[in-house]
Amino acid sequence: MAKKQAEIPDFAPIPEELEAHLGEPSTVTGKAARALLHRYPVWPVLKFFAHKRVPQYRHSYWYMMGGMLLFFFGIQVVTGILLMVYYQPGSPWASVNYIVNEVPYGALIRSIHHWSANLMVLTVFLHLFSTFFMKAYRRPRELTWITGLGLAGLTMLFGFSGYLLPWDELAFFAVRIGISELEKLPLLGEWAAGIARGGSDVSQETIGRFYALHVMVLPLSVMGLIGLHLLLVQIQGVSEPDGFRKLPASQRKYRNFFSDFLIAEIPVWLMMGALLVLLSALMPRELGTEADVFAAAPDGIKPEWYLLAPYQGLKLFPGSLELLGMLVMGLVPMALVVVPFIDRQIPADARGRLVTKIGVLGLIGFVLITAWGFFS
Amino acid sequence: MSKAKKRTRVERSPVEAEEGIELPAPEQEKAPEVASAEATSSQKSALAEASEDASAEPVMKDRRRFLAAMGGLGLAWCAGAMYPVYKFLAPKAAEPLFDEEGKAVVEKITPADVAQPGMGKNGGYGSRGVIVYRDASGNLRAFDSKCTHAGCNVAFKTTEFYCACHGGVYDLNGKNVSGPPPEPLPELRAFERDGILYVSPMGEEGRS
Repeated sequence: MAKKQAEIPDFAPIPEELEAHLGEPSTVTGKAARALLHRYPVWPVLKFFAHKRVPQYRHSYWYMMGGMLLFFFGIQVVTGILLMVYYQPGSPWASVNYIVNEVPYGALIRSIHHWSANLMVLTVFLHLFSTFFMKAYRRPRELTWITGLGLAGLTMLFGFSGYLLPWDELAFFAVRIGISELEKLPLLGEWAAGIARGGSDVSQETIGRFYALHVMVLPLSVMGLIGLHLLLVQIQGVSEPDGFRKLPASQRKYRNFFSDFLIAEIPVWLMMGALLVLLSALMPRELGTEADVFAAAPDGIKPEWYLLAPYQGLKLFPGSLELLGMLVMGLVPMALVVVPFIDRQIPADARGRLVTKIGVLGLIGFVLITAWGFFS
Repeated sequence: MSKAKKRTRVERSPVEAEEGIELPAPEQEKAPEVASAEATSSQKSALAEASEDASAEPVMKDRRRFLAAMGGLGLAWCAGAMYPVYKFLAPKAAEPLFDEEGKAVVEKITPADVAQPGMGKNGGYGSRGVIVYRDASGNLRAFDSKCTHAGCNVAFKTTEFYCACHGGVYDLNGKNVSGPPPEPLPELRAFERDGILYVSPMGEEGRS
């Protein structure tokens, strides 16, 4: 036993290239850094993180979307945990009413959770569209793109499941509509709707399910998938758009992600944090009247802005055309999943340019239908 | 397990003969099925130490088989565990809407709310919403208020039923006249007894 131990070196040698970054060996920090690196030789890990660099050109700010999403997700985790302290799934509306009206800063925390969710969805769209139009999904980044789409889907599920929890009129009807659309899907629709509702209609039974989903299942899934997404990005580095690749080497400028780019992101995060407080102060999230399964849907009921497009779609495909409408809506995510396998050529060929044009049309269509839903 | 073991034996023997490697074969022949995994792993280490040439191949096969068996066992275990989990999450059976007499009390609507022709109100029965109104000829009429489109409760608006969610409109006979609803609202039989409003399914005879 003792002999074996002696074979293992107690201290790993510190690479020379690293020595320069550690400060004077006589200082406290220099000593501590050396002591830690001797015991835990994480140098390869640090190197793995150090190689990522971000292309510098006038659209570089688009590379900040992922970091902003992490920021909003962090805000959601913190405000979500705070809300959990008082939220009771057994008396949902009363406990949210208590948070809003009794708990100091309760209305603020809840409003920040609401606005951060909204901005997170907006940033998901921006991240998705910027990745799409820079064509960063092309080989070899197909899997990164697909994990990103998965995260976008989970974000939507987050929004939908969180929507029910306050148990006001809007929550009740929004979820009733959502699940009734699920129910209309062929084959597994009815079964899935039953599992989601916990009964034949949306009721307090549904809240327990959505609560578990919203505070445990989705956060764990998102954290796992974020980890994978970031790992894939870290392995391959940041994608460079065609225009940047064409530049002569002398004109291609980069910034190290750790820590130059990351530090540049911090003021953006702080501004976003200020924006959240501002929005929450100016437009606090209202709590509607308690859900009443007997009452008629209130006039002027509308979903969140990011659901206005499918909302308008539901109105445009009445009656028997409804399945067709759902098929059309379902084609969008499916098309996004297959796009890296259709558009592969770097730099973009005719097909790549066509995909971009279709993307532009899709984006315009989405904005127009959303606006139509808003003003209808 | 036993199938995997059988195959192992058949495939290994020629190799053993060729390479002349001593394997604890007799022990394996006698070993109960459960012990085959142990035997495999001890063989593996013996072989690995002996050489890293082609003789390692059958051991790798054994190892793969063992892993496959463990994987299969794990999946079977998960499948078994899924059943109680599924039953735990399965939706509750719907409570009957009507009592043994085939009627249900209308909640949140009193006879006074529908006293005159043209008067009507949204209320509920069982776990569902209902609209009760008195028509021009003085008859009580009732409709289940769950919109046939996306499931919101439609509102009684004196001359029509209106769904605020997607703008569906039904006439006072429950017929879908505009907007997305695909079907008419189901009609119920409404009646008053001892100052309380009841509804019963349309097909059945009421007992008022």
